[in-house]
Parts: sequence; C-alpha cells; structure tokens
Amino acid sequence: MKAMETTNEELFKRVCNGHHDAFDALYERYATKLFAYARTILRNEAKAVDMVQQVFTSVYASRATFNGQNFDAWIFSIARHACLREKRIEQRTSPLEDADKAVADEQGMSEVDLNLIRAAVDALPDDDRTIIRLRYFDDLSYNEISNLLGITVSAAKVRVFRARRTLAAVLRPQFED
Amino acid sequence: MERIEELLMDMIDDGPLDESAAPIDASSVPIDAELSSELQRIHAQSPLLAQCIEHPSDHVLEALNKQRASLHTTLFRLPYSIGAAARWGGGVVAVACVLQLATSFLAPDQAFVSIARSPIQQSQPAIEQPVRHIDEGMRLMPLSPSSHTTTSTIESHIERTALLKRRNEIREQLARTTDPEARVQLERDLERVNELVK
Repeated sequence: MKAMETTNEELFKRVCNGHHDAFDALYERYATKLFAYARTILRNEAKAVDMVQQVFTSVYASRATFNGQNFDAWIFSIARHACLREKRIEQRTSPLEDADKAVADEQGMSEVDLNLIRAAVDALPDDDRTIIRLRYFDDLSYNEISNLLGITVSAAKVRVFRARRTLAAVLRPQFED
Repeated sequence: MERIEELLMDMIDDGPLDESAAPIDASSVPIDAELSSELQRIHAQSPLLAQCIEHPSDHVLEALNKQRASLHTTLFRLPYSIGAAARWGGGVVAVACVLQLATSFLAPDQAFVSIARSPIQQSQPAIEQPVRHIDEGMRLMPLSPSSHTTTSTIESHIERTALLKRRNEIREQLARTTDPEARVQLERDLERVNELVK
C-alpha cells in the first residue's frame, strides 16, 4: 500500500537505485496502460506485450536522461516513439496489409450495435481511431491521452469530440434504419 | 471554435451514460440548431462506447506478469554483473601490482629468465607471428569523434530487435503458407527485411 502512495518520480528514482519492489509498483501502474496504447497503435496483442517490455527496457537504459519532472509524460513519450517506430517498420515490410478489408469482413457479421461501433471505429482515419480507442476502448483519462500523444488535455478533448463527430456521421445511416 | 468543442466534449462526458441517453442541455453553449442535433446524435452513442472497454485478457495479464519477472532479471542483473566485473578486475590489477613489486626487487637479467627451447621445439621451425598489414589508405584516415549517442544506440538497438522479430515472423509465415502467391510476397518481404538488417 505504501508504494501506491509514492509518486511515480520517486518510485523511478528508487528503481534506479536498484529497489526491485519499486520496479514492481511502477510496472503495476503502467504495464496495462502501455499495453492498451501499443495494442491500439499496432493492432496486435502479442506485439503490444513485447512493446511493454521494450518500453521498460528503454526507460531503464535511458534513465540518466530523465529530468525528474513528469515521469508520466516521459514514459508515454518513449512508448509513443517506440510504437510509431515499430509501426513504420511494419509498414515498410508489410505492404499487403489491408485494414479496410478486415473492417468490411467484421461489418458483414455485425450482430448488434456494439460490433457496428467497433467496426466503424476501426474504419476511422488513424488519428481518430487512435483517440477513440484510447478514450473508450482502453479507458484512459484525458491526462493520460495527452501524455501519450504529446498534446494538451484541451487538444485531446477537441480531438475526441471531432473523432466522435466523424463516428456519428459514419454511423448515422445504420442508426437511422 | 476549439474552446466550444472542448466544452461540448465536457458536456458529453458529463451526460448520463445509461441506455436512455437523455438529451443534453446545449443551451448554455452558443451553437446552431444543426450542431445541437448533431451533439444529440454523438451523445446517443455514449452508452454504446462505454461498453466497448477492452480490458486485457487473462492470458495477456499472465504474459505481462511473466514479463515483469524477466525484466527483473534483465534490468537488475546488469548492474550486478558490472559490479562483479569491477571487483574481479580490481583483483587482477592487485595481483599484477604485487607481481610488479616482486620483480622490481630482482636484477634486470633475473626478472625475465629466458626459457631454453626443448629439443622437440628446436627440431621444429619457430612459429612466426602473423604480421598485420595496414592499408596505407586506412593509415591516413583521420580519426573522427564518434557520433553515436546513448539514445541513438538504444534506438538502433530497438529498431534492429524489431526487424529481427519481423524476420522471424515472416519466416514462420513462410513455413506455414502453401499459397504460391503469398509465398512470393513473403519472400520479397523477407528479402527487404534482410536488407534492412544488414
């Protein structure tokens, strides 16, 4: 319980000093969030799990560069860069991937509104899809989203609003039937 | 406009999330009728979106737990190894110093006793040490300061790891795939990854 009261910055300092329990607490706090973000960006659970490991390894390897201010922003920015790099590599090496086809397949078997929503979200442009998933599928706060995407909280809200507007427009015909 | 959008988002977030999704009161925000009705439509999806949460599955949580244990080993073993190596290295230096001190008390000709070659050795030709030929061009090459920073090293390591992982994936897919067209594409991908790995 005591470790939960400690700030992330203090915990990380203790990790750097070799405290294993602090590492456990930090991992506990961030692993699932990092996993959720990586899953949203990479669209693959196994790769997302690997990405969590990669992020923690990078965080530890570059601990000397942490300025001690905002661990949240720092670890999420490392995650963002790592995921985008991985995605770039994937795009360079897998030109055949056809996301639209996958969405169309899913739409074909939609049985309830939930499936419809999921398919519609997957069909959104990348930026809109990412922010909607982070907010509603991964259940992250605006603060966490702002740190992950490197934007302000206000900008995060505006982007969620615009993405939902797009989503509403996409879903309008289905819901009017 | 962005401020209004932010306010509208706050209103949507604060609105009821039950199935009824009662209309939200947008009268306090200066928006036109069209946007107002759009807002109701956006809000109507809130209960559905609220049900879309995808918690990590049990096997993911298990994998993350295993990963934590392996990270423990990886991250905390390194400093220990460095410490152990430093201690070991220190011991070697100490032994060398003692030997150096001991030999300094001997006369120069006693310090290094030349060992006579055995009859067998004498019958064999002495082994020549390989001579290193340094290319003149390389000899003249100026030494430049290293441009590698810690970050770039980490980044290149991460990128390389990802590439190697991708290569393994393609190989696995290749082993499973029987479709000739898919195989051709996978082989092309593999070639591309191989080039990047180089």
